[in-house]
Amino acid sequence: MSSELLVVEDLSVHFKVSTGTRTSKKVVKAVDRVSFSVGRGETLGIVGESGCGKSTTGYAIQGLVKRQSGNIRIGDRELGKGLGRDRQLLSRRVQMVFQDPTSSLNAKMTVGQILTEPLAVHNIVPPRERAERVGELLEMVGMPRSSALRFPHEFSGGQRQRIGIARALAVEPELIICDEPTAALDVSVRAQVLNLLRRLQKERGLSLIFISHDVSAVTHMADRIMVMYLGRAVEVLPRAALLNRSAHPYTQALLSAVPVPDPLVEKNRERILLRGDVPSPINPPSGCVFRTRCPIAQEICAIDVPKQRVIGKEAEGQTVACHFAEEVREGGIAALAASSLLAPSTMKETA
Amino acid sequence: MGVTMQSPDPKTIRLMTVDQNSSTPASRARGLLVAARTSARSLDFGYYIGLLIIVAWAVIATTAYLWVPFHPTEYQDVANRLAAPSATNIFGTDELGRDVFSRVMAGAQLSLPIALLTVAIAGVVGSVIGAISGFVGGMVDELIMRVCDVILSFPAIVLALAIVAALGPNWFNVVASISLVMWPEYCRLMRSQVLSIRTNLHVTAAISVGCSPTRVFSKHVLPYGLPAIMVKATVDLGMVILITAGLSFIGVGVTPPTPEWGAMVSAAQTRIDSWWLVVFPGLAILSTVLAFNFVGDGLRDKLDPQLRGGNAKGASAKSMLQRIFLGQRKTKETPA
Amino acid sequence: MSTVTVTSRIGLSSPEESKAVLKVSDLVVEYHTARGIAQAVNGVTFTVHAGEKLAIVGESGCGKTATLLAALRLLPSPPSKTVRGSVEVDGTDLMTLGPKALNEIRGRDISIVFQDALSAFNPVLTVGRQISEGVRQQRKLSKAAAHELAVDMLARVGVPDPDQRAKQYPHQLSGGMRQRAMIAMALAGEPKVLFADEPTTALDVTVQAQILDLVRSFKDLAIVWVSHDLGVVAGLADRVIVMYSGFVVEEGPVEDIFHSPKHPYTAALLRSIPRTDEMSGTHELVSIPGSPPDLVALPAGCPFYDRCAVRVDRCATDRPTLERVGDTQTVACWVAQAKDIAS
Repeated sequence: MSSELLVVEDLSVHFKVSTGTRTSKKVVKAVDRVSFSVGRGETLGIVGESGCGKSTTGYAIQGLVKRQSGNIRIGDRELGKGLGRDRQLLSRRVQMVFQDPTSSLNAKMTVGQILTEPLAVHNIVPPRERAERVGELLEMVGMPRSSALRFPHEFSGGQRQRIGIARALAVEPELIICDEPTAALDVSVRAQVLNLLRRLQKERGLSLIFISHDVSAVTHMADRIMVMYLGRAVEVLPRAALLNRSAHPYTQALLSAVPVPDPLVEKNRERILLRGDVPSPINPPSGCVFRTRCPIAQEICAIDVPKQRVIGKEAEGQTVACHFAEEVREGGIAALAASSLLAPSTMKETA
Repeated sequence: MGVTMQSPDPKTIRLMTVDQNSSTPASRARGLLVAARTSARSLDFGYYIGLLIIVAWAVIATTAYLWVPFHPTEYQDVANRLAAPSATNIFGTDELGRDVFSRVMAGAQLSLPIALLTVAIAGVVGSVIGAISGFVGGMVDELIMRVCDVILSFPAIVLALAIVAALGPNWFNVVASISLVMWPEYCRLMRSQVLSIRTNLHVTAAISVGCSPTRVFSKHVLPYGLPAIMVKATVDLGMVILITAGLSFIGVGVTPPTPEWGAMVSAAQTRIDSWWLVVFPGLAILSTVLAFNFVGDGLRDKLDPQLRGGNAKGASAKSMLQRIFLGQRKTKETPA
Repeated sequence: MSTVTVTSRIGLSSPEESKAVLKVSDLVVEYHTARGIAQAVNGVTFTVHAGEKLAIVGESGCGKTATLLAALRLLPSPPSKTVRGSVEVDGTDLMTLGPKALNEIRGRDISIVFQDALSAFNPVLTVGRQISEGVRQQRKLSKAAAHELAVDMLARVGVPDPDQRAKQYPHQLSGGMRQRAMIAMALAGEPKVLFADEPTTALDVTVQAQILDLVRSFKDLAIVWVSHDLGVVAGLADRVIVMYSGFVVEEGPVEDIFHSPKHPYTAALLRSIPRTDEMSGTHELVSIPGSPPDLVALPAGCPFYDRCAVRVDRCATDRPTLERVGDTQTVACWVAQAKDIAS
């Protein structure tokens, strides 16, 4: 318990969206009763496709969007729901690295000003020593000290993301939330940033939440992985379990859809192809949100919302939200879908 | 082929290229495409000519009384009235025998400050109110926007006319009335800027770092909104000169005998055969309006990161000035 | 490295047994920018045989997309300019055609799918109409026949309920469905060659898997697939071209490129991406230092020189040419070529 840095319980974030006319507003449950925790020095990966609520989860922890319900605890401090004073204090302990390093840096400020800002806002370094601290931060992320005098647009994408990471490090936070930190970067530069994040984490004992749609990046970075789908956490599992002990059909399908950069592996792969696209979060399916695309969906999946429950030994730390988790974990959904045991039912898609 | 995708017209392709963010994969080459479109030097030419004219007028306005050949108001030579341009009176003389050249030069002293002051007042007041409107939102926003709607629903010149007529014709009332008519435009522009900037990732990042709302606003929202305001202001300078001229033309603007371009054109309306009375002050107005418009257009291109393409976005006031006066700043890429 | 399946497939696509449907030779494209002339594509040459899947991989700005667009003469000029090169489709050089003949070939013999399906469609026309429009003009089809063709095409690319979908507008389809519809539109004219410009990049992985599965099923169609995603390329391509700052740096069969890359850039790129199938996660990824050179001021020697781990003096001054290294690959690298001669 005390080893957990961040505990999130039943987090829900709802957005109101207008549907044409001004008066009729629909509620989108961007994040729906998600619970997880991050230990000290641990990396939690959050993975899922667009609209699954992974970024919103990160924003909600950082207090950038208002949460509908749920508790967030940092260390032994419970965070209030408002977006006011608590988030000022929060930003000393939790920092964020954003997806697009071009737009997340103020283009009208020098790199030095950008890095000084958190120091000044929290007043943690006396004004005279700030320039020195900025230099240290730049060196920490592998940039020359002279960068402080230049503007973000004078740097390449990878370098800009380094600046973004330096800004997050400035207040010496305990947790850094990385929201798709490599999505906007080129392949060869991506590795630089991933390596940097890992090195910094190891050196400074940081906790990381690594949010990405890129399954391979998440599996490379994370100790534990939370898989999200349509606002729900469908499975949380240790990295070692991902490859052959995952217990949710979506986790297995997602993993099988990720292309492997090896033609021989690709040729002999067994693929689980899901039907259709992710449904609209405005009108999610009843019961299990994944059932409309699940190859082994049964009647019960449309009626009962599956609870997040522990599977296997408690110590393994794997939880899953699926009625048939045991079967899926044992047999794999490709085999299950083919056998008559859990054949795809021919229910109508009722949303 | 029209709409089929096998042959999208160049416009479609351009759209595709502009939509790309410069740092997403597979788009640096497309970024170059965008940059290339702005290489048109012709715009730059107009910009520098405009700048030159404005500087020239500014110098004239401040020094005219020191060197003009005749005193613009006190010198009258009724015997020589309505004389065509000659060696002594190069722009001719008016109906009281005053030297038109001297009056046009001296007119700059009033016409330019009126324009600058009006735009400054309208710009600052409008921007502040607009920024509040966009940043605070809710009822405040609704209220401010409705007030703007009311003012904007009148034709600008008619409203200004009514106000000056009520306050009495002098140059200060002209400034006041035109500012009153103009601020809602700045208000709306600033509001829309703030609304869109507020959702930028760098603002989210600033909040995430722990900046207070005031700091977020002053350091991260405002600097992004100002270039648009500045550009609108330069274009409006020309507009104000025209409105002032219009008011003087009708007779509610600057009172005689003070030399003011609009008033001079207005006074000449009954003397069409003495063409120099209309043409020279008219040319003065024309050159200033054109100059401000050229500079406005040029500024927009120089300050707009989209038009400058690629990775270059706006920068500090210093580098902004550098760009304005020295043309585009060269962007450097350095290896890590 | 080669297995039975590999050799048989290479045999199939060898020039002796199947004819070349597309020949691109010495394509050179420039962009005129405010900062000078950017050399976006520098002498790209490749051949595609019937039914072959050729992938062009590289990072942003490497000229892969520009190559496709220039080959179809879709690059707006100015600012871009195709300086030289020929693009022969079935023996006809697109570069010399007049506008009318060009339009006839585009869409009929060769067509293209883009990354962003939403902006590639006209928002105010139905999907069905846009799918059949090109063919309808060329074959003078009636309205009913055109609709039938559109429905047929949508069914072929796996769109459920195609009759309904054909009557809908682009924004009413989901992302994956739209991409399928765009493929249907590109295939409506029964082209021999299909260009694909990262058509799955904007899609979710599970949807991407569906689209890749569909594309793999087009056995007879020659495809030139541009991508930065090495995983996608591995599962799709027969042959791979690796591009770097406008140059082809390596070309070869997909297995050889992935299992014995000869160019240091290809090798580093492959080792820089994490893989999901081996959970060796604790290792450091190989990263390539620095970033690609400025296209406006390309270095005199090898464009990869600054970032290369195995460079020699010659690389700084002489630009390497594409030469055969080993049995199947061609590589533009002095070091790899020297090693090959030595062995």
